[in-house]
Amino acid sequence: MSSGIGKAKIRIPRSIQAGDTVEVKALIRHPMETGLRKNKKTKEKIPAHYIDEVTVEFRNETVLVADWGAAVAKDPFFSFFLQVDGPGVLKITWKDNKGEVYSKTTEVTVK
Amino acid sequence: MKTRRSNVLLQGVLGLAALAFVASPAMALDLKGYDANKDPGLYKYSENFRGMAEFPPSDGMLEDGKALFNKDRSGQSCATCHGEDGEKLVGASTHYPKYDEKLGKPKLIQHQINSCLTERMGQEALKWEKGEQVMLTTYVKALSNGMPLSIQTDGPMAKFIELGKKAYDERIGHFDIACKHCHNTAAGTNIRAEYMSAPDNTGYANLEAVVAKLPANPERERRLAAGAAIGSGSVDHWPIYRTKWGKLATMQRRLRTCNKNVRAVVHDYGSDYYVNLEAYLGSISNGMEMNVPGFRP
Amino acid sequence: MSNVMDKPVSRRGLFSTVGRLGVTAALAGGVMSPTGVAVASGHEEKLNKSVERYMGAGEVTYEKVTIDAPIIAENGRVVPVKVTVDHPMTDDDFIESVGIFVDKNPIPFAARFRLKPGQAGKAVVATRLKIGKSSNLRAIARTNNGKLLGGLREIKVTIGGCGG
Ligand code: HEC
Ligand code: HEC
Repeated sequence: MSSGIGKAKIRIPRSIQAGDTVEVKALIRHPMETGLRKNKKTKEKIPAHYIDEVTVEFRNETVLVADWGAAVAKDPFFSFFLQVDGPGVLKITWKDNKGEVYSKTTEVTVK
Repeated sequence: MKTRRSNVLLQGVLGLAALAFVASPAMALDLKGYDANKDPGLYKYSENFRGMAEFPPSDGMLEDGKALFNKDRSGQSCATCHGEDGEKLVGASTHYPKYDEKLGKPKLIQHQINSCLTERMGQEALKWEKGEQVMLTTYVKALSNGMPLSIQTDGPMAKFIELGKKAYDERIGHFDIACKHCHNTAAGTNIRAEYMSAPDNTGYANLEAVVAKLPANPERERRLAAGAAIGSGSVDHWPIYRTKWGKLATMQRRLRTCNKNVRAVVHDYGSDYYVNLEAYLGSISNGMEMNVPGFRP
Repeated sequence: MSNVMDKPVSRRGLFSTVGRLGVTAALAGGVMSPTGVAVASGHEEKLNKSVERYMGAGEVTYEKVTIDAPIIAENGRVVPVKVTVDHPMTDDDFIESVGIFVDKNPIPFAARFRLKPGQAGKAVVATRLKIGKSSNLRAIARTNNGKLLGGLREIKVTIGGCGG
């Protein structure tokens, strides 16, 4: 139960002024199984299950696309810089190698 | 510039307010998460690791615990008796392990949750160290974040803390080694690539004395230069998210691992042996602020 | 999606010597500052292919790319890595993508971030990786003109990131 696949947290600085470049940090809940690990008890391989694509949209425009391999750690984190020209919705969408797609949005406010 | 959790500015204020307004139903519960800046145990890790601790993988897991707390179980939830989101339990976990009159011995939060489930809700006990127990325990502990750990050390508890101390000092296992040998004698040094923490609340207080006892080597110089703390608590920041385990874990798992590492007998989860040890560890961390779930490699 | 993001990485010369030389040169010295030991040849081949596949063919100039990561990772399962590319992000001169590779991982490719000029104020990205054993970490940045810049960093791992 505790896997909580599909959940994510996004952190953006609180006081942003139009034109600021800010660091956006995100944490996604996912096992990021490489497919190389074995179940200790059954000795069977644990099938690969990892996020392979992350897309970030801001104000309806794609601002970043990340392609990931299974080497990205469990409960993956990423950050990047975003130039904020005005308020709007930031949406992160991620897809894993099993084709499951999830997304999370947050409101970016500008002073 | 740091990216901050939205409630961080309010934390200091609410930390004080929480003590004064526990009973006030009007006050919405502001659940504080783990605060890396208040964790004296992080100094020994790299700047990069400490950076991760500001946004650890466990961020958001308290919400899972909250959902389990409010989850309907045959018509009742924990909130039915303990208030929305558990607001009436704020502060409760600072006293755990806590003496239980009926049992005639101390119990862990896990025991208490199981007794609420079985005796008051007609449910089955949660399995030890499985996700649901760990999440609920972490949530109930986190309700006291920012409040000082206050385990009873006198009265009926004195005897059990004494037993815990005895277990802590006793040589055990194939390696014939006691907890204190790794965690006090060797505190601040490396054992198999892991920095040994001293689970007490001395913090920076007796730093010089402890460092003075370390053999003169570059490690000692480095630690002195870093202004390292030695006693970094224990019960106050457990359960933790350990990167090695990739999930939240309670101190029960830690203690069993410490036993395994010296090839000593591994006792059952929640056994008297571990409860007494937790009580002793807690007693020497008393006064440290609860800061759950901690973050360790 | 913008043009930039859609533009596929050039797969021309997937097995070409150019790309191979790019990475090999990094290990042997030259413009770059090698920090690690050369990996076994079969694996090196894999690494070269991986870099070419995700970053395109071409010689990698090892400059202007800085990797911030612990010297000794506390635990290989979660190693924080931040890549900074010292390059403008203007509409006509920008970093199009940043790839991160772990030389000695069974699958060297770890992540690629495709950036957009204007929206990404700086070519700085971070993530956390699994690193199986002590290895070179390699970050490669591709400019919109197809130029490849690189950075290398050795990471020691005492507790591995790939075991059970
Ligand atoms: C029907 C009412 C009821 C429900 C439902 C209930 N509890 Fe309790 N709980 C109590 C009572 C009464 C106590 C006081 C101690 C005792 O008698 O066991 C208590 C004590 C506790 C304590 C210790 C408080 C302290 O100050 O030491 C915790 C923690 C706790 N409960 C957690 C839970 C959790 C978690 C759940 C849901 C799984 C839950 N309880 C469900 C009635 C309830
Ligand atoms: C062989 C050495 C060794 C022995 C003996 C040992 N431990 Fe540990 N212990 C470790 C290591 C390694 C860690 C993880 C690094 C750290 O935090 O100190 C650890 C961690 C801990 C922690 C968590 C510290 C924190 O702040 O997160 C506690 C509590 C603990 N041990 C208690 C005990 C107890 C109680 C015993 C005796 C039953 C014991 N240990 C025996 C090696 C040991």
